[in-house]
Amino acid sequence: MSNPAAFIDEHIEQFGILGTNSVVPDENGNGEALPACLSEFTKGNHFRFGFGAGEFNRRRSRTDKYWVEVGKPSRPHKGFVAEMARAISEIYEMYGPLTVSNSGTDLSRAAIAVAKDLDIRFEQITIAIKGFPAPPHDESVTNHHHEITWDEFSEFAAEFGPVAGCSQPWVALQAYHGVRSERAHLYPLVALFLHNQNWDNGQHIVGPPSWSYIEQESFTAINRWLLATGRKGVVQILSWSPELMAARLDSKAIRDRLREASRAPPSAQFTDVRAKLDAIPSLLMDSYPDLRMTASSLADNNDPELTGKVQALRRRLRRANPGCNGVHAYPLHRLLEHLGVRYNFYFGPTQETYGHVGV
Amino acid sequence: MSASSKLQIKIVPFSEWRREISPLWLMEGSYRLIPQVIDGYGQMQYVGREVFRRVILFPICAEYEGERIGWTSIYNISDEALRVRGIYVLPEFRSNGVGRAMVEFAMGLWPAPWKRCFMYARASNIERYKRWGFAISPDHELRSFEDGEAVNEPGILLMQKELARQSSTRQVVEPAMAAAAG
Repeated sequence: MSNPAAFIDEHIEQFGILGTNSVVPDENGNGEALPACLSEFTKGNHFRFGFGAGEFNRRRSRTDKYWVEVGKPSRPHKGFVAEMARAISEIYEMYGPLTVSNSGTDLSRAAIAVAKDLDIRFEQITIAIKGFPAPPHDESVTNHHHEITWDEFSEFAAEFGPVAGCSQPWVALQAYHGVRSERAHLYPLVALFLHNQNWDNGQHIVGPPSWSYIEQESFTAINRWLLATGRKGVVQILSWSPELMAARLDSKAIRDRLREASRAPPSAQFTDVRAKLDAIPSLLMDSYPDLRMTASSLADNNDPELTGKVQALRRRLRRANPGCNGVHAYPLHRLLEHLGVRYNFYFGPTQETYGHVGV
Repeated sequence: MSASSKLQIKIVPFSEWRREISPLWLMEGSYRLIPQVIDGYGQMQYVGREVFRRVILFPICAEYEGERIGWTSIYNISDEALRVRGIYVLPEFRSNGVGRAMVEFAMGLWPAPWKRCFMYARASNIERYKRWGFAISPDHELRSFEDGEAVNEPGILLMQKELARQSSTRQVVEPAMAAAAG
């Protein structure tokens, strides 16, 4: 037998990870199912996620494996700025006048700037935790400012956690912007993590580069909350279309960082490689140089009192929602091939090492 | 232990495998769930729902005179490569070839085009696995941590072995049948 498909077909029902030999019956939870997904989170719902055999569902047991799939581009991308403008424009065509979270993150400010530039109708929502500063907002656009006490926010986060399967306070805060919105809402969550798997946790290089595109379960928590509560909105702005996903991976900012962090042999200058991988800020700064990027009101707040409160809340949410930390690691070489992006530099021998799929 | 004929190696249900290994091996026992077993270090080349449609996981046990004395597991990370995940032999049965027999059994289950098998080895076991035909993967160094937790070991290292192709692979025997035969 030299065809892997034949061997797999022969054994998948029994020895596949959802097979009869692998499933542990008493760990299949009975969590309430989500309503069917009837709206588009991304263009044509090309970006799909799920747990186990289902899609647009939520974790029903700790054994469920989280997965993500993305669509194939139907045309060459036109660059990040053009694809981002097209995405915001298409979102507006689909949902009409919008509200956008003005959470102070790079992406929220970029989304606001793009919408303004396109002259589409939208309003901002700013949420401040009482006693702590609110993120600055764009004075030229209608801004709905709301204050919430820490106790009120904690209560919301505790309700949001089990519905969305999420233990991250900053995601709950982003969702809370939507609570105060009467329209379809844009939740700008930054979600582009590229992880070199051959660094250990002590920041030591332990092998040639092996890059994965990481999607965390928490990045789709708001999607699950939207489904459960019957709200409409867009969470994965940067994944709105396959072409936009291709454009960001093909951007100069991302390419430069990957090239720099993939050099062989690696040297001491790359010991901070993980920090460099958070390439979204540089992508957005390169793309929108006039934007004044500010820290998020919660995720990056340096106020020690607020930081302490967030950490305590995170621990509480983790205890209440165990196992909600799944990750889907998409080998970068496969994602690039899927999206039609080619790098003309060395970024590791992953498939030569770990083998091909579909041989 | 001398009579190798009394050693039986077989595939068992995952539920049995992890129940038996949990109290014995803290590191492996902490990975109680299949997603945690198969994820890690970005080796898995299948994406999205391919993981459910293409990954085959064989939990494997060694029995000596009917007593379970060793455990390992193997799964495919691509259409060409495999990973052995964990090799544990009860202390009183070590250095008798049980681990090597389990790994050879595990690799023998897979036909071409699977051609390479990986494992992570603790530094203290590297020489042993070299004797089994594994070599340190090119350009790899010791890892000091695993999944964010110190493992109280000097380090772990990626090793690999090219599969020697036999004329035919070992027949996969269903767990229930193997148990009955045992």
